[in-house]
Amino acid sequence: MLANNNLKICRTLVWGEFRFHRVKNLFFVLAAALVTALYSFAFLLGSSVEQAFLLSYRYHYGSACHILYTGLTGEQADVLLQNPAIKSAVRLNTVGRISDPMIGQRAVELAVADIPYAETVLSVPEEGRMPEEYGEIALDEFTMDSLGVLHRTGAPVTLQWTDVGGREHISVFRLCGWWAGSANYAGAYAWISQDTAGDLAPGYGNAANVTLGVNLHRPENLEAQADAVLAQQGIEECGFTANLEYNDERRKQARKQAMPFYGPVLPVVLCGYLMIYGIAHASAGRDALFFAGLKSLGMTPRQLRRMLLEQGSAVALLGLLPGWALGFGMYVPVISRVIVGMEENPALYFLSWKPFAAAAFGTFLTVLPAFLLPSLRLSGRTPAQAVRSVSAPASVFRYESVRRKLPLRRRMGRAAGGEDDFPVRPHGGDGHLTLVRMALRTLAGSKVRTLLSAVWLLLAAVLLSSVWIRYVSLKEDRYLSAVSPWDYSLTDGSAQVREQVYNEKSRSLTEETVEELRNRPEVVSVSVLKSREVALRASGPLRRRIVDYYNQSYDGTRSLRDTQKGYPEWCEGLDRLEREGTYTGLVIGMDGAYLDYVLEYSPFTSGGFDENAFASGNYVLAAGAYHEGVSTQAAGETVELGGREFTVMGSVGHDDSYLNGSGSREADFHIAYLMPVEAFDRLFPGQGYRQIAVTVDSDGQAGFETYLDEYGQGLNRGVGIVRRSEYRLNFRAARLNMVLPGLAVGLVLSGIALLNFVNMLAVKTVGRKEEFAVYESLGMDRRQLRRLVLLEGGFHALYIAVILIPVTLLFDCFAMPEIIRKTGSWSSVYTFSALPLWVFVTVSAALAVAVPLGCLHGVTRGSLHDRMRGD
Amino acid sequence: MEAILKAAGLKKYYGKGDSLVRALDGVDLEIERGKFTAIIGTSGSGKSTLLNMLGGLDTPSGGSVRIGNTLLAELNSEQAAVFRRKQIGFIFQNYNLVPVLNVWENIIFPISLDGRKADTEFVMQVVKLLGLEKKLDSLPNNLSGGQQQRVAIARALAGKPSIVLADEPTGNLDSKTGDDVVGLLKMTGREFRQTIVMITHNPEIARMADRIIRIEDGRIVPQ
Amino acid sequence: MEIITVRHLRKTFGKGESAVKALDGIDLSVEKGSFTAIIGASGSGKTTLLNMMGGLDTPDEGEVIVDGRNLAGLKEKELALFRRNKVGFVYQNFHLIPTLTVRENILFPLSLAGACADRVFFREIIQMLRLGERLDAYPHELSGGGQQRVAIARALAAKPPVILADEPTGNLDSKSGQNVLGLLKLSAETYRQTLVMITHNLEIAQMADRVVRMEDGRICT
Repeated sequence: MLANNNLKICRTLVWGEFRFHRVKNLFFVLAAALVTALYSFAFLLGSSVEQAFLLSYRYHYGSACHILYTGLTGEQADVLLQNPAIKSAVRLNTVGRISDPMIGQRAVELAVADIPYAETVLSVPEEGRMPEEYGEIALDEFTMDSLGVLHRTGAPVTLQWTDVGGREHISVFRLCGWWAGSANYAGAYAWISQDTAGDLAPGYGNAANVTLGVNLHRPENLEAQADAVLAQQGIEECGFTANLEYNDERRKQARKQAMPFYGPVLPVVLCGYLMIYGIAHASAGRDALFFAGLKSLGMTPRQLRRMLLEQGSAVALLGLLPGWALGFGMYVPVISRVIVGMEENPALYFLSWKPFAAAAFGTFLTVLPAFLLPSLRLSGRTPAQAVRSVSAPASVFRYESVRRKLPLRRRMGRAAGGEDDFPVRPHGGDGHLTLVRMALRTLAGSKVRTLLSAVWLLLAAVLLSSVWIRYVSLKEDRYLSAVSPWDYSLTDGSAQVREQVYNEKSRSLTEETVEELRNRPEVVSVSVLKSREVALRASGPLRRRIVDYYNQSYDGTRSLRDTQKGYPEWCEGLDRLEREGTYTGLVIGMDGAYLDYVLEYSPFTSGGFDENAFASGNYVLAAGAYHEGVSTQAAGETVELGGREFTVMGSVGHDDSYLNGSGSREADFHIAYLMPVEAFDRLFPGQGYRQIAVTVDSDGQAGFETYLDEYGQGLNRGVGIVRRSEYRLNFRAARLNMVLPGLAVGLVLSGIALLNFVNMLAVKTVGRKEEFAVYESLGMDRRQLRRLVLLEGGFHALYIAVILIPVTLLFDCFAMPEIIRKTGSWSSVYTFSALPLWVFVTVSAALAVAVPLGCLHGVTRGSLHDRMRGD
Repeated sequence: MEAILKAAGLKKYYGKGDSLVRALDGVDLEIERGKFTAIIGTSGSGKSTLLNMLGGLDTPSGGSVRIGNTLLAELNSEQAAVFRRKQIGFIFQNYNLVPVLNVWENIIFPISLDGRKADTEFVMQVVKLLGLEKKLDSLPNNLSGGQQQRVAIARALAGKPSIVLADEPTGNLDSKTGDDVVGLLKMTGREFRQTIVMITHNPEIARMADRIIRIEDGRIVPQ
Repeated sequence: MEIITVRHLRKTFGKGESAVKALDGIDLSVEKGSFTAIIGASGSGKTTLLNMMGGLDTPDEGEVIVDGRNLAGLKEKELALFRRNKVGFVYQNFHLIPTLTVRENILFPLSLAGACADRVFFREIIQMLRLGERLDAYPHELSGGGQQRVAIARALAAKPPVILADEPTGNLDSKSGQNVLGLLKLSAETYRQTLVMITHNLEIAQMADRVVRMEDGRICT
């Protein structure tokens, strides 16, 4: 008896359902498509941002390979490649390294052109081609700029380079191709042909000069695997670096940074569910009767569940394709705003099947429970109970809570005024039956659903308000005065971007440059900055102090040191200090605006600032970690720099965002010592400027820009010019990016909340087709009906406004200042604005009136007779 | 006696081609003022359709309905609504009470729609006659079927319409309640000099009427 | 032999002041193969009693035994199978599935069980109920009498030992009512089924082997 459970009949019922209730099922499919679209959008956005972060780590690392082994001999390389953990590899034969002083510490390898390898390090010529003939060379633009090479094929290139054996050479090449400087950290490549290499360095193939870029089968724990491979193949004395893209901490970091972009998924789960449920709810009464009927015919709960499951699956499946398309359509314009600076279209570059699969999975997870809930609700009831739960069958209309006791009429009465359009004189009392009263009753009769949609609107309004206030609270002036306190900044060509290593030997910005700038009439002030890395040794107590400092707990689970795990070079620097006591000091000479900036944004952790003493040149400021506590020499202690002893005037938590470019790898972990530029010149005479800050008269801005353009073109070597206006553009883009995840969630939620509201209003009107017909049969004319519906709409709007306005305003005025203070950026100042609220109130009011009126037209078509029969 | 209600050549067709249904196929009918008329017939014979035509709830495919001096076809939907609430009282098989309104409000609903003042004395008289005076504050859903039907009758009578149209008012009631309700209807009709047209399929109830009209296949069967 | 036994059945709806005793201690047994009519005013508890017998509702107190099976002990799923195999329902408002054709509606309880229809029996029912030409129509395309004939065919299709009918003629004019009733009685006799029917119509009740009158949730003697 139990075995007889035919499930095929369920499909017959589902198809019948689709055939007979086309409109309802169309709505279901549309809702499912919307849910899929929103999931696709969120997953696509999140995964793209995550991948973009990983991609930026790869750029930073400079190679697409998992591990780079350097300094191998040809035989060693062959042995290494036999390891089973290695999936594929590319190989580079280094001929030497460019040692031109202009290049400085930026490592540029002179190597035989190898396209597979070049591809992994993004160093394939975009203009011209790879060298094929004798004497040809291909370079990146940063190197060309440093060397002053013209951007033209055939241009002569004179290079000073050091071969593998350590001998210096000066050779002349012909430029055959170049590519935009991939500003990578690991270094760059200068490609020459095999003939050239053989001629320049005979026997280069026998030296330990092979670099092997290796891809592993399983890209995880790269350092450990790299060590294991070396040990297994019995190779010692070989250096390697592991790709940051696969660094576990970096992966977590990328996931964390992409998290806000995955955020919209959460409201979609809830809203999608409610949306589907809302549609199902509209016909819940009829469905309950239908299910009760099926049950009384002997349908088991399992069969009922199966039927709903199939119906839900069909709806979700039908919604998938349009949903994916819609989600992708939303994603394309947004992603290009979120991820900027890529040559490829990020929308296509990061495209994969995974977000779509996740969206499909999410859709099923959302749609199916909404479908199954009614059956779960019914399963505990007998069919008779289910029928009773649908409100009184004697009446043609159904209300949610009509059993609620209505307020008693007031007994003490007065006669109704004759002027009223709708007056009533009840027996011995005053009980106006006006359209207003009827409209109010209707509102009261469905308050659960109305409240629910009001809550959604409220959530959306609050969220959008918070996003909007965060947006308007981000102050451009405040940002610019901090980030670009100077109108213009000139930077040495080797320190234009953060990925570049500043070349201390570079002489792009000289005394003459500064002099020329100072003589410009529109220039108000010129500030300068120089820097130099020096190797230092820490005293025992200092060493202990620094190590202890970084071992202190950061947030209870991690130490300060652990937070830096994504920066292996930094960690190595700290390890070196702990092990050997040596560290890198970064001596910075500065004046004017730079000094002002440091004093304003770097908080003192010990000591203070004495202008005269600082000017004397006997004192320095020791700058350490931007965190509470002394991580350097403290005030009153001394430090020896360049053979001279300085007294530390004070220590600061260093906000070094004013420094352009980066230091050497060894200097990733460093302590900075700030001194006047005159004192710096006495220590390291003849060094060029790292950067120059210029403030101009606002009237002379145009003239100065023209001058700068000419200046830039007249140079044969790289100088980076940064205008404050560029920062302004960057700020605006960044501000938008900052609120974009919240905005996306907010807009999605608003869309759903408004749809839900419209759905509720429409269902309320359409579902009363029979009721309106009865009204009309009793003599209500169309004008009265329209007024009734209009009044109901008005009350709805009022109801929404009464909930929305006070709560949102309270949130805006009391919660937001706290939120801005706690989570806002340093450039945020709380600014009140209730714009989204007013938009919501207006839109919901317009909808509350327009939707029922619009639906009324469709509902009042056909003869009263037909409408009352419910056809 | 003058005829208050006159139908001439009334036709109503549904569908077309093979599935054409002649719900009414040429009905001529005159009903005199103050009379209680019962319409009987099998299901699908067209009696509900006829009643709907007489009340202006449906438009005929052919023919005309005249109530008093008014030709229903000449009214637009606005005028028809106003005409209905002034001249006709409806009683439906499934009551069609407004669930959000209490009994009193339901009863005066058509009067209120007309912007008229209810004749409280008269309405209270009707209410008492129907035994509803203790239920005025109740909501329809808290009443039994018989009570709901009595509210519907009170509603139909409250505006003193000249005609009351009742579509199987006893359909959902057991026979005793049904007898009571029709008795009341007849009594109030006589009391307030109203013309009553009632559909029923119960021959016993039909026997209480002044006149019985039998409909079969969309036509009136001559007695 | 008793096929339905009802003992001390009680059922109350609502609470406090508005509590309604729908069934107030019912004891009843129904002989196999008999035709029992239940009459009573509306609200006297007839439908509640019928629902209890069919396993559509659960009593507050008392027990219902149908064909040797105590319904109180059955789980949700067993109840479904009980309804499917032991009872055929005929309702006042038909309860046909609007999305299925007449044929599908009639075979629905069998389809639920995944059982094959007894083709000879099916044709017999169809012929008896004069549904042969409308098998592919949808319920809304039939007249009320036609729909009720489909509902009867559905109740008979699985050859249940018990047929429960709740005012099967309530929505029909008297001629089609008589017709439907005759068919119901005929089929019950033909297939030796037990018929329990609620009705308002005394004429119909007089055709029954036994008349049970209910008042205020009790059986009047």
